[in-house]
Amino acid sequence: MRMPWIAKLRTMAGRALPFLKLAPHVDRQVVFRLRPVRNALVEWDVNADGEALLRIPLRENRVSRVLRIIAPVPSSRSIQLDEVGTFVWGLCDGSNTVEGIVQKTCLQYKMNRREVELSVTAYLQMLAERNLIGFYEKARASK
Amino acid sequence: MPTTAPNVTSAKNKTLIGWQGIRFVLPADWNLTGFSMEPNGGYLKVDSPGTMFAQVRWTERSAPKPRTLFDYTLQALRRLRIIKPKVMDEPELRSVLEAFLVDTRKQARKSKSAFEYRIKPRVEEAGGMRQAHHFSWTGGDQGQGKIWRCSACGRTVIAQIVGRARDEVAQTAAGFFSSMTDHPEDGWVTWALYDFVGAAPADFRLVRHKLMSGYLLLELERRSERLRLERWGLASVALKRFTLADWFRKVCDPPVAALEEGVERHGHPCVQARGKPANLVRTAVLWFRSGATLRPALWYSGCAWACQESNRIYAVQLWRSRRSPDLLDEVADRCECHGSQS
Repeated sequence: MRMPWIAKLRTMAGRALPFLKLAPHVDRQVVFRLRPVRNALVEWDVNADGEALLRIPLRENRVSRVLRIIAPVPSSRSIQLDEVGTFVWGLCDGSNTVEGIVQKTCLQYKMNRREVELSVTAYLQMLAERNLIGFYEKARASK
Repeated sequence: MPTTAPNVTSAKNKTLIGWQGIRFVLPADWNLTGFSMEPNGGYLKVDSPGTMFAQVRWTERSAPKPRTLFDYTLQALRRLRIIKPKVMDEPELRSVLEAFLVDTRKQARKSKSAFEYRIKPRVEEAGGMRQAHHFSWTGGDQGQGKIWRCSACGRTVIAQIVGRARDEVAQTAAGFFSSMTDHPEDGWVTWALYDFVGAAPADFRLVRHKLMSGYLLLELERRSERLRLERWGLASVALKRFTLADWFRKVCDPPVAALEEGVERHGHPCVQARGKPANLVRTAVLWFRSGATLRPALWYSGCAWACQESNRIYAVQLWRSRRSPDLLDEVADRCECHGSQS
């Protein structure tokens, strides 16, 4: 598909001036079909309270190697999730769609669907921004 | 006055919406997505999970604000009933509706579709209390609506259901209009949104609200009196490490130290506190909050209960003056918890 010249211009200008950048048009139905899947490098354990502790390995680069000589630098950083966060994290195994996660969270915590939709999508977005999860869409069977 | 609200949402496939005296029922999973808090009117938008939505817009009939000394004198004389009250000009329904449809036409023009509308002749409804025009339009989307003026409350209301061509707009609109009321019948205004159903006396005005995921707050005021209706989700998580009494003390911070336990509300254990704060600093804060009044709201009544069925915690708190009646029991009884699950 050919991109209109004004869109091309705004994309180029948006690199320097972010307010000119075109907002991506994402269909809600498409988002709800996506399947979140955990980053395989992230290790996690669930404690007795049902809260997950994520251990994210830190990237090895020249700076970290130099820093390690000067002071002890941890090889990973930890993130503690709360109970609801752990429940959603557990469902990010690639078999559940965003829609499925919303429905399961609604049933588990007896919350209003809209409340769950807003909080679950914001939470998944935050996990994705931190590279803790990725999304994929299952290919549809062609008729 | 009745002590319990009718359980309108007991039917599992319905959602009750109540806001500023406007009250209606829509299919399940429809949720409030937009509202305004204008002084002489308001706006509500309720979205379906699909492509349909409901819109309600209303204006109150009110006298213009006095600006000059002469206006103030006239207002005082009218209050003292020395001169007759001013007869308000009533808006012509058809012209209001046509102006509304012009706006809708502008939106349809963006979708480059032909816009057509039909206005039915005026009818009288609700035993002659309402004068109404039904209307429908097509143009990109389709809409079915109604405009009416209620002689009891003086409100002019426009309500419509909008959807795509394939949506069952007519069927939804029929249920929507048949359930709609524009003013409270028993002096209690229903506040219903996101599965929360509560009620407050009609003279309490909404001054603050918070509609967050898992937390809902409606704060209403009547002169110096204050009424807070709150609801938290995830009760099972919140009460994992606290008892309900500890949680109430920590989150609601009642100004009265002694808590009463062993009370039941809606079949759930409830904690409550009533009285005047013994602490001088807290009393001073309440005096200050009440403003310049001879009846400061120093008496506190508050309660909280956890509903396991809906996994929610409800709290009702009231600050009132000494002479005002304690409405806590009535307000708490009118809150629906597990009965309102859709």
